[in-house]
Amino acid sequence: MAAAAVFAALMSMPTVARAWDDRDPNNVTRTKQVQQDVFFDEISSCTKDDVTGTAHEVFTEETTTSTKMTRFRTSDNENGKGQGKPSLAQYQFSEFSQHETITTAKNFTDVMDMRRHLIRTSGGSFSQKNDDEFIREFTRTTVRNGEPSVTVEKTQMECK
Amino acid sequence: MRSRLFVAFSAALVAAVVLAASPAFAQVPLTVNYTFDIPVAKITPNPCTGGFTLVSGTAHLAIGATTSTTGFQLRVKLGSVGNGIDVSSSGTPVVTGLAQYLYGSDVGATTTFPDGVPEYFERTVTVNDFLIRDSPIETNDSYTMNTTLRLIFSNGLPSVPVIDSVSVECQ
Repeated sequence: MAAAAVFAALMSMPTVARAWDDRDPNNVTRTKQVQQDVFFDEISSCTKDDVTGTAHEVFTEETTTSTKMTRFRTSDNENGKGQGKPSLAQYQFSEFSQHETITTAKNFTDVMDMRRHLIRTSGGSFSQKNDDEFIREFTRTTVRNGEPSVTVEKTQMECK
Repeated sequence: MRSRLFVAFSAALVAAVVLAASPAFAQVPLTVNYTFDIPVAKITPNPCTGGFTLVSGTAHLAIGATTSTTGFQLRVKLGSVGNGIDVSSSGTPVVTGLAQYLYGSDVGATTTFPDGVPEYFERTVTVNDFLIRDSPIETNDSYTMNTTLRLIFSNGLPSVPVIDSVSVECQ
Protein backbone atom coordinates (compact mmCIF):
# COMPACT_ATOMS: atom_id res chain seq x y z
CA MET A 1 0.00 0.00 0.00
CA ALA A 2 2.77 2.40 1.02
CA ALA A 3 4.81 1.39 -2.01
CA ALA A 4 1.84 2.10 -4.25
CA ALA A 5 1.45 5.53 -2.69
CA VAL A 6 5.11 6.32 -3.25
CA PHE A 7 4.89 5.12 -6.86
CA ALA A 8 1.80 7.26 -7.45
CA ALA A 9 3.55 10.24 -5.92
CA LEU A 10 6.60 9.61 -8.10
CA MET A 11 4.42 9.64 -11.18
CA SER A 12 2.91 13.00 -10.18
CA MET A 13 6.32 14.61 -9.58
CA PRO A 14 7.28 17.08 -12.31
CA THR A 15 10.04 15.62 -14.47
CA VAL A 16 11.21 18.68 -16.29
CA ALA A 17 13.80 17.91 -18.94
CA ARG A 18 16.73 20.24 -19.32
CA ALA A 19 15.73 22.97 -21.73
CA TRP A 20 19.22 23.92 -22.85
CA ASP A 21 20.31 22.78 -26.32
CA ASP A 22 24.04 22.93 -27.08
CA ARG A 23 23.27 22.32 -30.76
CA ASP A 24 21.02 25.38 -31.13
CA PRO A 25 22.46 27.20 -34.21
CA ASN A 26 21.53 30.52 -32.61
CA ASN A 27 23.89 29.99 -29.66
CA VAL A 28 26.35 32.87 -29.30
CA THR A 29 29.05 32.67 -26.64
CA ARG A 30 31.08 35.49 -25.14
CA THR A 31 33.92 34.82 -22.71
CA LYS A 32 35.63 37.22 -20.36
CA GLN A 33 38.66 36.23 -18.33
CA VAL A 34 40.39 38.16 -15.58
CA GLN A 35 43.80 37.09 -14.28
CA GLN A 36 45.26 38.89 -11.31
CA ASP A 37 47.70 38.53 -8.46
CA VAL A 38 46.02 39.42 -5.21
CA PHE A 39 48.03 40.40 -2.13
CA PHE A 40 46.40 39.31 1.12
CA ASP A 41 47.07 40.22 4.74
CA GLU A 42 44.67 38.82 7.31
CA ILE A 43 44.63 37.60 10.88
CA SER A 44 43.87 33.88 11.10
CA SER A 45 40.95 33.28 13.43
CA CYS A 46 42.40 29.82 14.18
CA THR A 47 45.99 30.61 15.14
CA LYS A 48 45.89 34.43 15.46
CA ASP A 49 48.77 34.47 12.98
CA ASP A 50 49.08 37.52 10.75
CA VAL A 51 49.16 35.76 7.37
CA THR A 52 50.54 37.65 4.39
CA GLY A 53 51.08 36.35 0.88
CA THR A 54 50.02 36.48 -2.75
CA ALA A 55 47.36 34.52 -4.62
CA HIS A 56 46.99 34.14 -8.37
CA GLU A 57 43.38 34.21 -9.49
CA VAL A 58 41.91 33.28 -12.85
CA PHE A 59 38.24 34.22 -13.10
CA THR A 60 36.32 33.21 -16.23
CA GLU A 61 32.83 34.33 -17.13
CA GLU A 62 31.03 32.75 -20.09
CA THR A 63 27.68 33.97 -21.37
CA THR A 64 25.84 32.04 -24.08
CA THR A 65 22.59 33.32 -25.54
CA SER A 66 20.29 30.94 -27.40
CA THR A 67 16.90 31.28 -29.03
CA LYS A 68 14.95 31.40 -25.76
CA MET A 69 17.36 31.61 -22.85
CA THR A 70 20.80 32.53 -21.58
CA ARG A 71 23.42 30.36 -19.90
CA PHE A 72 25.84 31.95 -17.42
CA ARG A 73 28.94 30.00 -16.40
CA THR A 74 31.60 31.23 -14.01
CA SER A 75 34.75 29.53 -12.82
CA ASP A 76 37.21 30.80 -10.27
CA ASN A 77 40.64 29.24 -9.84
CA GLU A 78 42.81 30.57 -7.01
CA ASN A 79 46.23 29.43 -5.85
CA GLY A 80 48.12 31.20 -3.10
CA LYS A 81 50.85 30.89 -0.51
CA GLY A 82 51.61 32.91 2.59
CA GLN A 83 53.57 33.03 5.79
CA GLY A 84 52.25 33.62 9.31
CA LYS A 85 53.71 35.85 11.96
CA PRO A 86 54.85 35.26 14.60
CA SER A 87 54.76 31.46 14.04
CA LEU A 88 56.57 31.56 10.64
CA ALA A 89 54.21 28.74 9.57
CA GLN A 90 53.51 28.31 5.85
CA TYR A 91 49.92 28.60 4.58
CA GLN A 92 48.47 27.72 1.21
CA PHE A 93 45.18 27.47 -0.57
CA SER A 94 44.14 26.06 -3.90
CA GLU A 95 40.49 26.40 -4.80
CA PHE A 96 38.42 25.81 -7.90
CA SER A 97 34.73 26.57 -8.09
CA GLN A 98 32.32 26.48 -11.00
CA HIS A 99 28.71 27.59 -11.27
CA GLU A 100 26.14 27.37 -14.02
CA THR A 101 22.82 29.13 -14.37
CA ILE A 102 20.39 28.83 -17.29
CA THR A 103 17.28 30.96 -17.45
CA THR A 104 14.73 32.77 -19.56
CA ALA A 105 14.93 35.78 -17.20
CA LYS A 106 16.78 38.85 -18.44
CA ASN A 107 17.10 40.42 -14.99
CA PHE A 108 18.03 38.69 -11.75
CA THR A 109 20.39 38.78 -8.79
CA ASP A 110 22.00 35.63 -7.40
CA VAL A 111 23.87 35.47 -4.09
CA MET A 112 25.85 32.27 -3.56
CA ASP A 113 27.19 31.38 -0.13
CA MET A 114 30.10 28.90 -0.03
CA ARG A 115 33.27 28.01 1.89
CA ARG A 116 36.95 28.20 0.99
CA HIS A 117 39.76 26.41 2.75
CA LEU A 118 43.04 27.91 4.01
CA ILE A 119 45.50 25.13 4.92
CA ARG A 120 48.41 25.48 7.29
CA THR A 121 51.11 23.29 5.75
CA SER A 122 53.89 23.61 8.30
CA GLY A 123 53.79 23.54 12.09
CA GLY A 124 55.51 26.69 13.21
CA SER A 125 54.94 27.16 16.91
CA PHE A 126 51.32 25.92 17.02
CA SER A 127 49.74 22.50 17.32
CA GLN A 128 48.87 20.56 14.15
CA LYS A 129 45.16 20.14 14.82
CA ASN A 130 42.43 22.71 14.38
CA ASP A 131 44.61 25.14 12.46
CA ASP A 132 42.92 24.97 9.05
CA GLU A 133 40.67 27.91 8.45
CA PHE A 134 37.45 27.96 6.47
CA ILE A 135 36.41 31.25 4.97
CA ARG A 136 32.81 31.91 4.04
CA GLU A 137 32.51 33.59 0.68
CA PHE A 138 29.51 35.35 -0.84
CA THR A 139 29.46 35.61 -4.62
CA ARG A 140 26.92 38.07 -5.97
CA THR A 141 25.95 37.88 -9.65
CA THR A 142 23.75 40.65 -11.00
CA VAL A 143 22.25 40.28 -14.47
CA ARG A 144 20.62 43.31 -16.09
CA ASN A 145 19.22 42.97 -19.60
CA GLY A 146 21.23 39.76 -19.96
CA GLU A 147 24.57 41.34 -18.96
CA PRO A 148 26.21 39.79 -15.87
CA SER A 149 28.50 41.38 -13.29
CA VAL A 150 30.08 39.51 -10.39
CA THR A 151 31.39 40.65 -7.00
CA VAL A 152 32.86 38.57 -4.18
CA GLU A 153 32.82 39.24 -0.43
CA LYS A 154 34.65 37.14 2.18
CA THR A 155 34.15 36.62 5.88
CA GLN A 156 36.11 34.37 8.22
CA MET A 157 34.39 31.39 9.67
CA GLU A 158 35.68 28.32 11.53
CA CYS A 159 38.73 26.18 12.32
CA LYS A 160 39.22 22.47 11.65
CA MET B 1 30.92 2.50 -9.70
CA ARG B 2 30.14 6.16 -10.12
CA SER B 3 27.00 5.51 -12.15
CA ARG B 4 25.82 2.93 -9.61
CA LEU B 5 26.27 5.44 -6.83
CA PHE B 6 24.47 8.00 -8.89
CA VAL B 7 21.48 5.73 -9.40
CA ALA B 8 21.33 4.73 -5.73
CA PHE B 9 21.62 8.27 -4.49
CA SER B 10 19.17 9.60 -7.06
CA ALA B 11 16.63 6.99 -6.04
CA ALA B 12 16.92 8.04 -2.40
CA LEU B 13 16.62 11.63 -3.48
CA VAL B 14 13.50 10.97 -5.52
CA ALA B 15 11.82 9.16 -2.65
CA ALA B 16 12.70 11.86 -0.16
CA VAL B 17 11.47 14.64 -2.42
CA VAL B 18 8.22 12.87 -3.13
CA LEU B 19 7.46 12.03 0.48
CA ALA B 20 8.25 15.48 1.74
CA ALA B 21 7.16 17.76 -1.02
CA SER B 22 4.05 16.26 -2.56
CA PRO B 23 1.58 18.12 -0.32
CA ALA B 24 2.99 21.45 -1.48
CA PHE B 25 1.89 20.82 -5.06
CA ALA B 26 -1.72 20.98 -4.02
CA GLN B 27 -1.23 24.57 -2.90
CA VAL B 28 -1.26 27.75 -4.93
CA PRO B 29 2.34 28.18 -6.12
CA LEU B 30 2.73 31.75 -4.81
CA THR B 31 4.76 30.40 -1.88
CA VAL B 32 6.34 26.97 -2.01
CA ASN B 33 8.51 25.61 0.80
CA TYR B 34 10.26 22.25 0.80
CA THR B 35 12.30 20.89 3.69
CA PHE B 36 13.51 17.33 3.65
CA ASP B 37 16.40 15.06 4.59
CA ILE B 38 18.23 12.95 2.04
CA PRO B 39 20.05 9.86 3.35
CA VAL B 40 23.56 9.62 1.94
CA ALA B 41 25.49 6.35 1.70
CA LYS B 42 28.19 6.22 -0.95
CA ILE B 43 31.65 4.80 -1.47
CA THR B 44 34.18 7.37 -2.62
CA PRO B 45 37.82 6.90 -3.60
CA ASN B 46 40.13 8.19 -0.86
CA PRO B 47 42.56 10.41 -2.80
CA CYS B 48 45.02 10.53 0.13
CA THR B 49 45.40 6.84 0.97
CA GLY B 50 44.52 5.26 -2.38
CA GLY B 51 41.76 3.27 -0.65
CA PHE B 52 38.04 3.90 -0.34
CA THR B 53 35.73 5.56 2.16
CA LEU B 54 32.12 4.68 2.90
CA VAL B 55 30.49 8.05 3.47
CA SER B 56 27.29 7.90 5.52
CA GLY B 57 25.23 10.88 6.50
CA THR B 58 22.33 13.13 5.75
CA ALA B 59 21.90 15.98 3.33
CA HIS B 60 19.27 18.47 4.37
CA LEU B 61 17.78 20.40 1.48
CA ALA B 62 15.44 23.34 1.83
CA ILE B 63 13.94 25.13 -1.16
CA GLY B 64 11.74 28.17 -0.80
CA ALA B 65 9.94 30.14 -3.51
CA THR B 66 8.34 33.42 -2.53
CA THR B 67 6.42 36.04 -4.45
CA SER B 68 6.54 39.54 -2.98
CA THR B 69 6.31 43.15 -4.02
CA THR B 70 10.00 43.04 -5.02
CA GLY B 71 9.46 40.16 -7.40
CA PHE B 72 10.01 36.42 -7.16
CA GLN B 73 12.70 34.88 -4.95
CA LEU B 74 14.15 31.36 -4.84
CA ARG B 75 16.15 30.24 -1.81
CA VAL B 76 18.17 27.04 -1.74
CA LYS B 77 19.93 25.80 1.39
CA LEU B 78 21.85 22.54 1.30
CA GLY B 79 23.58 21.22 4.42
CA SER B 80 25.31 17.92 4.95
CA VAL B 81 26.67 16.09 7.99
CA GLY B 82 28.05 12.59 8.42
CA ASN B 83 31.06 10.33 8.78
CA GLY B 84 33.30 8.08 6.73
CA ILE B 85 34.98 4.75 7.44
CA ASP B 86 37.79 3.00 5.57
CA VAL B 87 36.43 0.27 3.31
CA SER B 88 37.48 -1.88 0.39
CA SER B 89 36.19 -1.12 -3.12
CA SER B 90 33.29 -3.49 -2.41
CA GLY B 91 32.31 -1.64 0.76
CA THR B 92 33.73 -4.12 3.29
CA PRO B 93 35.15 -2.30 6.35
CA VAL B 94 38.96 -2.29 6.53
CA VAL B 95 40.71 -2.27 9.91
CA THR B 96 43.32 0.51 9.80
CA GLY B 97 43.51 1.57 13.43
CA LEU B 98 42.65 5.10 12.31
CA ALA B 99 39.68 7.08 13.52
CA GLN B 100 36.64 7.60 11.30
CA TYR B 101 36.27 10.71 9.16
CA LEU B 102 33.79 13.40 10.09
CA TYR B 103 32.35 16.05 7.81
CA GLY B 104 29.78 18.80 7.88
CA SER B 105 29.12 21.72 5.59
CA ASP B 106 26.45 23.90 4.13
CA VAL B 107 25.90 26.00 1.05
CA GLY B 108 23.15 28.43 0.20
CA ALA B 109 21.94 30.57 -2.66
CA THR B 110 19.27 33.20 -3.05
CA THR B 111 18.09 34.32 -6.47
CA THR B 112 15.79 37.29 -6.94
CA PHE B 113 13.84 37.97 -10.13
CA PRO B 114 12.49 41.55 -10.13
CA ASP B 115 10.33 40.90 -13.21
CA GLY B 116 8.43 38.03 -11.58
CA VAL B 117 8.45 34.25 -11.95
CA PRO B 118 10.82 33.11 -14.74
CA GLU B 119 9.49 30.55 -17.20
CA TYR B 120 12.67 28.51 -16.74
CA PHE B 121 15.54 28.61 -14.26
CA GLU B 122 18.28 26.01 -13.82
CA ARG B 123 21.26 26.16 -11.49
CA THR B 124 24.07 24.13 -10.02
CA VAL B 125 24.80 23.99 -6.28
CA THR B 126 28.08 22.52 -5.05
CA VAL B 127 28.61 21.24 -1.51
CA ASN B 128 32.25 21.29 -0.38
CA ASP B 129 32.67 18.66 2.34
CA PHE B 130 35.97 18.47 4.20
CA LEU B 131 36.60 14.95 5.50
CA ILE B 132 38.94 14.96 8.50
CA ARG B 133 39.58 12.10 10.92
CA ASP B 134 38.13 12.38 14.42
CA SER B 135 41.59 12.05 15.93
CA PRO B 136 43.66 14.19 18.35
CA ILE B 137 46.75 13.73 16.16
CA GLU B 138 47.35 14.86 12.60
CA THR B 139 46.96 11.96 10.14
CA ASN B 140 47.71 13.93 6.95
CA ASP B 141 44.94 12.25 4.99
CA SER B 142 42.15 14.83 5.12
CA TYR B 143 40.41 15.45 1.83
CA THR B 144 37.62 17.42 0.24
CA MET B 145 34.60 15.96 -1.52
CA ASN B 146 32.69 18.25 -3.85
CA THR B 147 29.16 17.17 -4.76
CA THR B 148 27.32 19.22 -7.38
CA LEU B 149 23.53 19.10 -7.58
CA ARG B 150 21.56 20.47 -10.54
CA LEU B 151 18.20 22.08 -9.78
CA ILE B 152 15.55 22.98 -12.37
CA PHE B 153 12.59 25.30 -11.76
CA SER B 154 9.80 25.50 -14.31
CA ASN B 155 7.50 28.48 -13.76
CA GLY B 156 8.85 28.63 -10.20
CA LEU B 157 8.19 24.98 -9.39
CA PRO B 158 11.19 22.76 -8.60
CA SER B 159 11.65 19.36 -10.18
CA VAL B 160 13.69 16.46 -8.81
CA PRO B 161 17.31 17.51 -8.11
CA VAL B 162 19.99 15.32 -9.70
CA ILE B 163 23.66 14.85 -8.92
CA ASP B 164 25.81 16.45 -11.60
CA SER B 165 29.22 15.32 -10.36
CA VAL B 166 31.23 14.10 -7.37
CA SER B 167 34.95 14.81 -7.08
CA VAL B 168 37.54 14.27 -4.34
CA GLU B 169 40.89 15.98 -3.72
CA CYS B 170 43.55 15.25 -1.13
CA GLN B 171 44.52 18.18 1.08
